[in-house]
Amino acid sequence: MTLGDVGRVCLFSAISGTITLDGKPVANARLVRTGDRDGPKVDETVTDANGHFAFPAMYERTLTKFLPQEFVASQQIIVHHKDQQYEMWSAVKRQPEENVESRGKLLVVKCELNAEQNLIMVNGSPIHSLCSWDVEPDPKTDWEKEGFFDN
Amino acid sequence: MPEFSPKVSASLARDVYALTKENSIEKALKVLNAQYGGNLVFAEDVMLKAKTGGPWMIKCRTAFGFTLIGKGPLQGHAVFLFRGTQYLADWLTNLNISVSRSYSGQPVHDGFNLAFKSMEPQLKEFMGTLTKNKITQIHCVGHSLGGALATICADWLRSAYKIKPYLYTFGSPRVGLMGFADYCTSTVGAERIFRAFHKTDIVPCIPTWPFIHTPNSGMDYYLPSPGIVPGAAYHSMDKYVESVSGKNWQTLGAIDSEKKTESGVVQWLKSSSPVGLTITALEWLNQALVYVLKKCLNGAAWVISGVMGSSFTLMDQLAYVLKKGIDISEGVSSLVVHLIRKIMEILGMKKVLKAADMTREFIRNIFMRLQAKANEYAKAALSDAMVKGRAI
Repeated sequence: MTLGDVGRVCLFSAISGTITLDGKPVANARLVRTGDRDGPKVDETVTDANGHFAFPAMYERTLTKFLPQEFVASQQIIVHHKDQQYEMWSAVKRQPEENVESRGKLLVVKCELNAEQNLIMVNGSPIHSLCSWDVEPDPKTDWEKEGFFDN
Repeated sequence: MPEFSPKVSASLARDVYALTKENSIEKALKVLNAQYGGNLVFAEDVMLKAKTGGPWMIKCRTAFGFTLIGKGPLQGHAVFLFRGTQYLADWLTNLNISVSRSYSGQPVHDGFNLAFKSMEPQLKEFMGTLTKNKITQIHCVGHSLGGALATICADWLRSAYKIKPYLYTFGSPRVGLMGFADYCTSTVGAERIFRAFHKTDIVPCIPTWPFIHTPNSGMDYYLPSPGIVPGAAYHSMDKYVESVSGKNWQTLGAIDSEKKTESGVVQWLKSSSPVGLTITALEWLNQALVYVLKKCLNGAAWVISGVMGSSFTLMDQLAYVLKKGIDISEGVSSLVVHLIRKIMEILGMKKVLKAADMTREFIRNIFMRLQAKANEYAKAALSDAMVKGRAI
């Protein structure tokens, strides 16, 4: 860690990938990304002819990384395409490091706008999305076997 | 007893942060279903309210909360789940903490109390639906400030509704003075209170005396964590989830917390081995202070303000009680002298003292210095951005 990194927390890791609609690449779609820990930060990009997009990592400077306080940032990406809006990504990031959404790997996604929004949990962070990427979700607890009460 | 396992209570205390940050109740419900297999859900009226744009979480400037109801194996159970916001550090290191009365009339941290009171109307509304939802057991859960709110909530449920809830806190700050801790512990029942804390979590160390933890008897759940000075790293809920995973309360309770017996406390007070400002010394000092205060009060309840007038701060009162102790008997007097000597030593003040030197003003000053030192210490750990990588 260098001095310049002091207090920097990652609201949204660098994310790139392709967007399709019924399997066909979506060109010229406008993507609006929001990261919000203590007030929203917004940036935008547009898909190229192959439906490809890329956002850099979104950082914020705060001292709270060193305070006894939980890191909680909401994330959203809305795709605007032909008068339609699709919530491509809606998540709550619970660790301040970059790439925790994909357990340390680069976050490269494939998103199908006509898909049903799907929820996965990664390190206790819920991610609702129209996307798939290379990540192992948190293991599910078998409550029937384990039970809720102390033993 | 149908108390939640450490894993369930810790997961809830962690998940409340994400749940309150979701942009719709439908998404929050999906998360609940994914995490708890559909066995913990929002009550129907909460869902209904959310559909008409109403509040689906309990919210005030400084805190958030949820009420959940159980299904299947959790039929008949409700959960009151709390989380705090970023104002915690400011509150805890404020030297001018004031105290107000909890629902049961006991002295608690005014900031925590106000936050709870602003949530009370919505909690009351939920209490009106208990019969309809066939609720017989309530679990209060929270981490950090959320733990303080869960504790005040447990006291409220017991006093206002004669319900004995289960209370689970992780890294909670100290909520009230001795009167509150005593009352809440005995009325809710020590066996229903599960207070888990990491050894090096800074938050349970504050606010400093005369605030003490609830429960003040029975078990608490001490979780070892590396280091000898308290800091922010082991306050994180992820770390708590990790520390309790795969264990039951009995196993966690059996972890050696270097429990201090009364004779151990007296021995520590009287010993001449050097002490410094370490977490171990502060733990001992805390126990010793509680022990000596009890002796000074001689069974009487801790009174706040009232007859002494509002210009009396907590420190004044502490000094007043200890000074009274000096006058009670030779035995109590020598305990107070030992205590003050220990504090002076921890503060690096070397001076031999007799009971006669201890005026109320003097005792007050020692406590002011101790509190200032402890706060300085907490602040350094809390907010010094450069603290990482540097030895304290």
